Amino acid sequence: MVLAYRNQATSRVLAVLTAFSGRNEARGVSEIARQLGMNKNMVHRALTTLAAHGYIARDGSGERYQLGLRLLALGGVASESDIVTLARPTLEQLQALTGESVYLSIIVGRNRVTVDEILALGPRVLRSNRGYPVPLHCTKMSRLLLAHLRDSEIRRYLKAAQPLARRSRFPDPASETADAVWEDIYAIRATPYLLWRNPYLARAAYAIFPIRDEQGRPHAIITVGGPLERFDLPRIEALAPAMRAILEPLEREARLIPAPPFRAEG
Amino acid sequence: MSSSASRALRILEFVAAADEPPGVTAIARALSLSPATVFRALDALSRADLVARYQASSRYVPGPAAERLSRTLIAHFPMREIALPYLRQLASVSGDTTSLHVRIGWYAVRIASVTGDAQVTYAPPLGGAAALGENYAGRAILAFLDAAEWARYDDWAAKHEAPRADERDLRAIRDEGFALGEPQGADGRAAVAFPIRTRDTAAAALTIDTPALHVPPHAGAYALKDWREIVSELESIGQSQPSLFETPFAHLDPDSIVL
Repeated sequence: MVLAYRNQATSRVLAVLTAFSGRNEARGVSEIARQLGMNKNMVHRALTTLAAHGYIARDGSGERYQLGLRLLALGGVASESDIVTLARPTLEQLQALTGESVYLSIIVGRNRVTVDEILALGPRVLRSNRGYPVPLHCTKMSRLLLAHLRDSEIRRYLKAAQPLARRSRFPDPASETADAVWEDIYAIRATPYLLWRNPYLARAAYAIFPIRDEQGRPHAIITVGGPLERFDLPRIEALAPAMRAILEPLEREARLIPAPPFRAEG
Repeated sequence: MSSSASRALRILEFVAAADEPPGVTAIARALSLSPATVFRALDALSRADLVARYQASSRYVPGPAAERLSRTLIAHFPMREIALPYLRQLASVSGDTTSLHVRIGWYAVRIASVTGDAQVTYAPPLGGAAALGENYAGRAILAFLDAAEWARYDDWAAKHEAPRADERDLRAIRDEGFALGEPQGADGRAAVAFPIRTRDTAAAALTIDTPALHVPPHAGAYALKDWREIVSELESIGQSQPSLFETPFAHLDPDSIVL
């Protein structure tokens, strides 16, 4: 009997600890008591024990409790399962299917940044510019990321990014005024993915796919690009069903993870 | 504090800190407890998923609930979410593994990391803490604290047998704007740490954890400029909104924190 009682006491303390799992904010005694069906006294005693070992700490207000620093040593938490790791197999399959260069780009601050790529052999369409920032309203690839942000986010971006006009290697009329950017955004939103041939860079064609979360906000874009003699629009269209089938598992997985917040002021 | 719950918590700490997954006998010996007591505590910890058997053996490792709790704590740092895209950008520019370390008390704690794609990659675990004087990440933070804080750190370090603050080294880091790890390999490259400063203090460090920079910097100088731009973009967020770069432990007296 004594043993059973003791184990029960231990289990209650551990239950109070695990009640903090997945919670973003500090918790009060009554709230935990309600959740676990314990009385406040028990919860208070459990918190005192947990605090003595550093598993729980009082928060800044002194009234509530948050997880303590002891937890840092506990998990051996592996590094991020981030979009780059998740997308890598998809990039490899797309490259194998098309033989063309494949790029993964994300939003960093107010820019698009290509963070992973597999380059085609032979003639390529893009100089590798991995890691270098391109403003979110400049170039079709950037605007595909911009288009899937919320309208309010886009408005904040367009305000923060003034003046929009920017000298670049190729003319990009859709980037020059806020109205032109919006017009392109509506066009982009009307299609599940984008086939794109830059009229000023006549020798290349691209297929650009957004990877989005449940709410439709963007994690990343994947771009497949090649020279027109190999990768013209009819060929892209012929490959599209196979490309979309390859993208499907990644799209499904990405929906389960909320896309990162966007900070136009950043 | 000798309740059964306290014993279970001590056992959990021991299992988490052990280099090799320990069994009942090893735990009992190390903590001066009876094997029966250890067995009962492990039973309660297993039922809460806080420990699990290591590959179906009779030895134990932290369980999925322990990892979930650690992740929950790490997610409490708003700076983490903000810094991740910049870590990815820095990792893709440099090809190396990059990390964010925040200052907690007199420690630097790694709370985010992105693996590079260089041939030999390295994925450091999150949650690792080191005294500020111990390595490049902490020294990059320490160097940008004020002289009164150097003195406070030094007192604390003397008490806790942590590496002391070397004023000359810290002034050099201040002048350069970054701290370097130990040079490695034939071409003498070193890991690099940049401070992330808010208005009045250094809150964190952004590091390239694989040997990335020639010492002294010469051929790498061009890359260094790119890296610094990325770091200063992140830093500008903290300068306009310092609260985003605060940790949930900012209200604690740094001298009281022992990790």
